Amino acid sequence: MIEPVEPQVWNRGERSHVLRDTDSMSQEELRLEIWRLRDELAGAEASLAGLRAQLEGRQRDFLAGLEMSGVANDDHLKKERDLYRSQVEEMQSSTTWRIGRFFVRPIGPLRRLLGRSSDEL
Amino acid sequence: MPRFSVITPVHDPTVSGLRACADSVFAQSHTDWEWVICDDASGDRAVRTMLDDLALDERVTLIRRETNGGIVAATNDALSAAAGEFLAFLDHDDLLTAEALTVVEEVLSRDDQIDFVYSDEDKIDEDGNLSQRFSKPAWSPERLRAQNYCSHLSVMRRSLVNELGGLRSGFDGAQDYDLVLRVSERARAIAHIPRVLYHWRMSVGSTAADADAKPYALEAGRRAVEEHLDRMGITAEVTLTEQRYLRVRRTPQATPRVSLIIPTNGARGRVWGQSLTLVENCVASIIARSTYHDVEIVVVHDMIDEALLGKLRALAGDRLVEVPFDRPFNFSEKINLGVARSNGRIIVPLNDDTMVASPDWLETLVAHLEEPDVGMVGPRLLLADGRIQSGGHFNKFGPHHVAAGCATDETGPFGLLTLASERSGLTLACAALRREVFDEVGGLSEVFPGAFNDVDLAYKLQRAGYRIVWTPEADLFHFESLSRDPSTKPIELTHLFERWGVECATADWFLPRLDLQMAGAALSDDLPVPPQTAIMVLTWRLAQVGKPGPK
Repeated sequence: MIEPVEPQVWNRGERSHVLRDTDSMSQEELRLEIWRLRDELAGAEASLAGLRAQLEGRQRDFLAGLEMSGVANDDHLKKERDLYRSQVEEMQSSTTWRIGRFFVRPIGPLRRLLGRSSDEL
Repeated sequence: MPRFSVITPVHDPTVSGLRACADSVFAQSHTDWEWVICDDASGDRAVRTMLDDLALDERVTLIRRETNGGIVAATNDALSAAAGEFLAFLDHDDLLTAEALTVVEEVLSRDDQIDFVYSDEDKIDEDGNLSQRFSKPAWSPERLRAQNYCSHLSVMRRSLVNELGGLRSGFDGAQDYDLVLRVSERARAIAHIPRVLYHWRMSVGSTAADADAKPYALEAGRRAVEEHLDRMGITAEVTLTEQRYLRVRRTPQATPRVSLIIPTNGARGRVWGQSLTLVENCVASIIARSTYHDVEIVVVHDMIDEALLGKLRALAGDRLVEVPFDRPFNFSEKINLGVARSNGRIIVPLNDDTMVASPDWLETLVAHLEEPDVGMVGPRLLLADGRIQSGGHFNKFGPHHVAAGCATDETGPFGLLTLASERSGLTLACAALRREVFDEVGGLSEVFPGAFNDVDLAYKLQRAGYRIVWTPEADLFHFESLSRDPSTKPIELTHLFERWGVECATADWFLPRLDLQMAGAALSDDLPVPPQTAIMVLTWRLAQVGKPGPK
């Protein structure tokens, strides 16, 4: 049986996925459920990759700006740091980021589980 | 050891052509190169003198052959004298752009697994005018079997070329094609540079000016592909097309059961002046025209009436699987349910407003899926009036149908519409997948009930490392959107962007003006290209699971 996890909102209304009690599911329902989970996982990984790329881009911009402004300029440095922090916080408070974390946390067990063909289940 | 060895076999070029070629080498902004020239017994004294002059430069190595041995022998002689880590092939009157080796170096420095790099190219006439820019695709092995699209500029790791024994005799005229095919079978990673780094001379009697100039080269190319297919374990017949490309007709090694998944609401539509029940017409065409035997027809229906079901049963007999669906419309959900109820090893989502045109359409699609890294394959779809409805999807500048509205005898730029080749995606009006691939990527995403489920599926497949192939060798009619409202919902667009933001952004798909512009211009021979301010490198990493390789 798949351990139930906390339902999460993914800005997709009724499509947000909640794992169900698999004992009560037919073979067909189970297969469809696995496909939905794999699809959600693929989507979350893609979204997360996008966010990572954005974050890396901002980090690069930040470092480039820092280099140009001169490390000795403390006030400017502080402002840049605060701006950078707020950008990161803003990003980390976004729904997609939280969903990404939600999927990444159980990614190991999920991968092991989903790596099996649904025919085996 | 220099980074690059530029390899040039020479045999009686025009003096001006050779001078321009030499100037382009000496003008390279990159400095770590040598130029290895093999003079294949040129008879022109002026050429010989010029070569002697060139050899005064310490970066130039000149080899002279006593007798004319042909391009393979001359190139191999040059290869044996080369010391560079990478080989850049340059014909004796062609030109490298000044930044060519610099750009290649930048790409190579990003990934030490890259064994083969090719760039875009154009042609140059005797007056120095440039034309026929060839904006090439990212690594596209299916297309390579129909056309040596990599051609110029090709840069290959010398150790790999040596391992392969250099150029093969017997392939004169297509020796480069043969080498590219063999290198691609072994390369760890291949990169495409979407920038013109090479100007190919159009002189009288050259292949650049006339594909028929060297008929022996066409036959050599055909044999090179035939041998490549043998090495890859693909059974196919290779023939020349009218456009002087190659047509690869595959024969499937096995004929596993195919499940056609047809969602329908039993709608009627007008086709060729007749009012038809679309699903009935579709099933009738499958039964009457398809030559593939092991077919299961899974009809996922919105509780259509018993009379229509009776007709379908009469048409399909025990091949019919009825799947009632009583939920709100969701194309993806219907397909997923249909697949879950089916038994075939091959899955074909099929719209009810389609009709079979090519009897061997399924054999063609199934044969492509025998390559393990092909995730999905689709046919050419035709409108009722015979024009092309879809030649697959390109996602660059926004997901759009390739060649929509074009006549079927259009060849497209550089034969694009006549060649089986890779696509960004395919419309799910008709596309074939192996069941295990469908299973691996989680089927169709039900967050896309109407539109973009096909675009999303294509992204998922590509992310999982699969190629998507479109073939003009199988035709179906698609009386597009007769059975349902074709409009898209803004929320579906939002979901697509949320999920695939990175890829969509890379493809500039959010620029609708460019999208329209590019879709309209897609068939021009001289494709307009937006100004290039940065180098975008598309690398196909062949170390992925399912990579092609000799069987």
